Amino acid sequence: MRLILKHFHPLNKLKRERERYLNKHQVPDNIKALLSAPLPDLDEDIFSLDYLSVDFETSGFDPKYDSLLSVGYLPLINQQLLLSEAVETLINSAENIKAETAVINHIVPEMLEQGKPWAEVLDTLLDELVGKVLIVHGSVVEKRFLNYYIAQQYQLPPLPLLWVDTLQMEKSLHAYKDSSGADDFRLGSIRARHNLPEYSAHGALVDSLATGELYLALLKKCFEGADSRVRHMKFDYSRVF
Amino acid sequence: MPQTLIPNVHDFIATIDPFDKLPKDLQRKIACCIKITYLAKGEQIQFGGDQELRYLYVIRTGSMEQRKHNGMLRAKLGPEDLFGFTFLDKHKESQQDYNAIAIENTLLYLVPHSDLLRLLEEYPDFAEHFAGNVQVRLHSALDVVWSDSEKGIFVKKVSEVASDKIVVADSSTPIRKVAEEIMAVCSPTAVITENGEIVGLITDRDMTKRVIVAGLDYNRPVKEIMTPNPLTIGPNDLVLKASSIMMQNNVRSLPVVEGNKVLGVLTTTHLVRNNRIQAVFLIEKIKYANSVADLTKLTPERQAIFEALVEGKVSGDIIGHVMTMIMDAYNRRLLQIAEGHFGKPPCEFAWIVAGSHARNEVHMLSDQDNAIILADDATAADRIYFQGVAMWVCNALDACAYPLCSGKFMAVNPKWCVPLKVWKASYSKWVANPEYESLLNVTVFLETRWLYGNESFNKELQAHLFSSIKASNVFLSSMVRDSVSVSPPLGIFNSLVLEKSGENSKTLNIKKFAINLLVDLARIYGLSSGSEKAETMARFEHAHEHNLLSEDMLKNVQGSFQFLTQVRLSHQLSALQEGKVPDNNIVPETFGSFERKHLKDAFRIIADLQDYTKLKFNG
Repeated sequence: MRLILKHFHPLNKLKRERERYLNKHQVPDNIKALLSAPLPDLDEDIFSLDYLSVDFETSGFDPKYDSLLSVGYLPLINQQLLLSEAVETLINSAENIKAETAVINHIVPEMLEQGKPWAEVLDTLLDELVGKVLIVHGSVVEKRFLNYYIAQQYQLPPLPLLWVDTLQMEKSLHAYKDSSGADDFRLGSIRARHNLPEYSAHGALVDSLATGELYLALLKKCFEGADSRVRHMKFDYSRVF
Repeated sequence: MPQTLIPNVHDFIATIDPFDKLPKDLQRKIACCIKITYLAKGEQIQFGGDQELRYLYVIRTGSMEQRKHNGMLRAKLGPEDLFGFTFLDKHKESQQDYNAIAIENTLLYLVPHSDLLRLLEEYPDFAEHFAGNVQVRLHSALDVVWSDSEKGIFVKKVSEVASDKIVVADSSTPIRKVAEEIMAVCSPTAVITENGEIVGLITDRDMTKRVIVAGLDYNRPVKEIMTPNPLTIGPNDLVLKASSIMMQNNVRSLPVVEGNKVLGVLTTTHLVRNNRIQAVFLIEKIKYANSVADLTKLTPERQAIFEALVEGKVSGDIIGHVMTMIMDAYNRRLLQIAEGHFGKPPCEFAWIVAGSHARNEVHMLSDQDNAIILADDATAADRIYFQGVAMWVCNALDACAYPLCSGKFMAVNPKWCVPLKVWKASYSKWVANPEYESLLNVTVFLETRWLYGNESFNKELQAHLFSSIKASNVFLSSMVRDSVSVSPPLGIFNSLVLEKSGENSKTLNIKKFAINLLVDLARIYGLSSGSEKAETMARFEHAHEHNLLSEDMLKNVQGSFQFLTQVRLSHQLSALQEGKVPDNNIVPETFGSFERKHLKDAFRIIADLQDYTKLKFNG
C-alpha cells in the first residue's frame, strides 16, 4: 500500500516523466544535465532544498505575439536568498513592445537594445536551474515563455521541471478559511499580509526577490513545527497551454 | 548589484547607522553580499561558531529578542536594528553570549562576517564603525557627531591660540626701556627675569597705574613695579584651564612658559578674538554686577552661551566646566553683595557647593546644592548672621534661575549650616551607619567643593571623609547596593523604552536611568580610591590609575558617559529652542537608529559595570 502511494506521488510521477523524456527525445547536453539531476527525495526536508526564485517581465501573456523583456532570478540555498548571485538581464528582441506595458515595466525599446539575445539569457537560466526547484509567483507566464523557448530553440516539448508557485500556496492557505480580505492576490498585497516590506516594483529581479522572500514566509507558515518532509509539499505540477 | 535592487536593498541599508557613514561604493559592495532570510515567530537563530558562518544581522521587518543563556533579556530589536557585532570580534570564542529569537515573523538581512572583513580591509578608515568592541564603536560614534574641528576654543591647546610676541626683560632694566619694547613688539605684557628665572610680570596697564598715575621715575628698575611671582600657563594646557585661571585671579594675560623658557603670552583678547562664545565676558559682567536685579538680567545670556556650546558640539565635560564657572561667578558675586547688606562675617566660615555643582557638571537644569561650614567657635549669634546670608543668597540664586534644591540641600537649611566639628560628626555617622535611607539623603554631600571663605575648612572635612571611609568596611558596599538598585534600560524598542523587567515606558529619563547610575558608580570608585577630583570622569580615571578599573572598562565608561551627556544636553537644547522647560525625559521617537544603537551600547556598559562593581565591593 505504502509503495503504491509512493508510486503515485506526483513527484515520483515527475521523476518517471523525466526518464521518459530523456529516452524519447534527443536532447542537447545542457537539457540533459538539467533533467538528469536528481529530484528531491520524498523524505527530504523541504527547507533544505536548493531553489531558484525566478521572474520574467514580458510584454503580454502570449509568447507567440508578445516578447520576453527581461529575466531576473536569485538562488535560495539553506533558507538564504543570495544577493551576491542575483542576476537580471534584459533581452534585445523587442520588435513589438506595447506602449502600455512599457509604462508598467519601465522598460523601453532603447534599454532593450543593450540586452542580450534570449537564447543566451535562457540557456544561462537553464544552467543555473540544475538541481534546483523553481519558485515563481503565478507560474503561467514563466511556464508559457519557457515552453515556447524550448519549442523554438530545441524543437522539444515542455521540460518536466519542478516548480513551486507562491500564488497557489497563498490561495490554498485561504481555501479552508474565511477568505474575507484575502481576495487580493497581487504579490505586493500578499507580502503586506505577511508583514514583508514594500519593495518598489516592477522589475524581474525585484519581483523574484520579493517572491523568494514570500516563499520563505509561506514555507514557515505551512511547515514550522510540522512534518516538513518533501512528501507533504504541494508543488506546482500544472501544465499550461 | 543589479540596478533594480538598489532602491530596495542598498537604499535601505544606506539609511542605517553605521552603513550611512560609509561611501556609496562600499555600501553597494556590502549590499551585494547580503543574504536574506526569514524567521517565523519563535524561531531562534542558529549562530554558527565557524567564522564563515558568522553574520552581522539587520532587521528588515519584524522584531527579535536577545536573551542571555540564563534566560535574562538582553535586548529587544526592531526594524533597522543591527546585532551580531560581538561575533565580529576576531578573538571571540565560538561560544555565544546570547540567543536571538524572533518575537514576530522577521525578515533578516545577513551581512557575512568574512565579506565584511574583506571589504573593510579595502576601506580601513571605516573599520571602527564595525568594531566588535563596544568602546571602539562608541568612540567612533562620538567622533562622527562631535568632530574635533567643531569643539571650539576651550579644548584647544594654549599654544594654538597664544601669541608668540612677548617681551622678556631683566629685572634691572629701566621701566622706560621695558615700555619701549612693549610698544615695539605690540605685546601688552613683559616677563621679567633674574638670572634666567622668571620673577615677575608687567603689563601696559600696570605701567599706566603704577608709573604714570603714581608719578614714578621712568628710569627706576622695572623690578620695583612688576607683579612678583606671576601666574603662568604651559603650552600644552587647555585654553579652558587658562581662561579659568584668568577669571579666578582676575588677570588679563598669562605668559606661556615651558620650564623657564618664555614662549608667548595668552591674553583675554586672544580668547575673545577666537571665541564666539562669550562666557568670558559674561563672567566679567557677573563680577561687576551690583545687585540681584542686575544679575537676573544676565540669565538669557547664560542660556545663549549654553545653547552655543551645545550647538557648537563642544563635549559635555567642557560644557559642564564652563557652566560651572559661570555658576561659581554668580554664587561668589552674590556672597560679596550679601556681605555688603549684612556686614562682615562675624567668624571664619566656608561656603561650599555640593552635587553636580561640586563635580563641575552644571547644565541648564542644575539646581543649587550648597552648604556652610562654620568655625568651631561660632556662637549662636554668628549662626543667625549666616542663616540670614544663606537665606538671601539662596533666594537670589533662585531668582537667577538656579532653582532651590528640592531636597533642601542648601545653606539656608539650618542642618547644613553648622560648625566644622558637627559636619565631621555627621560624616562619621553616615559612614559608620550607612543605612539605606540616610545614605540616600547625603550622597549629594559626598562631593563638596570650596567656593568662598576659608578654603581649609573644606579640605579638612574632605580629609575626614576619606579617612572615615578607609576605616569603614560597610560603607562602600552599602553605597554599591544602593547604586545598583536601579538598572539601566535594555534599549529603545519601537517607540518605547525597554526596561530590564521586560516592561516598557513611554519616555527615557536619561538622568535617573543612565547618567546618575554612572555618577553613583564614579562616586564609589572615586571615594574608594581617594580621588580629590569629583568630576565623574576624573573619578573613574583616578580609580583606573589605582588599579580599581581596567583600561578597557575605563574607556567603555568614558565613551558611554560622554555619549549620554551629549544626548541629554542636545535634548535640553531642543527644549529651550522650542520655548519649553527643559527636562530629563526624552521621548524615544526622537531617536534615530544611530542614537538607539549607541544608547543600547551605553546602557549595556553601565549594566556590566554595575555587575562588576557588585562583585568587587561585595555590594
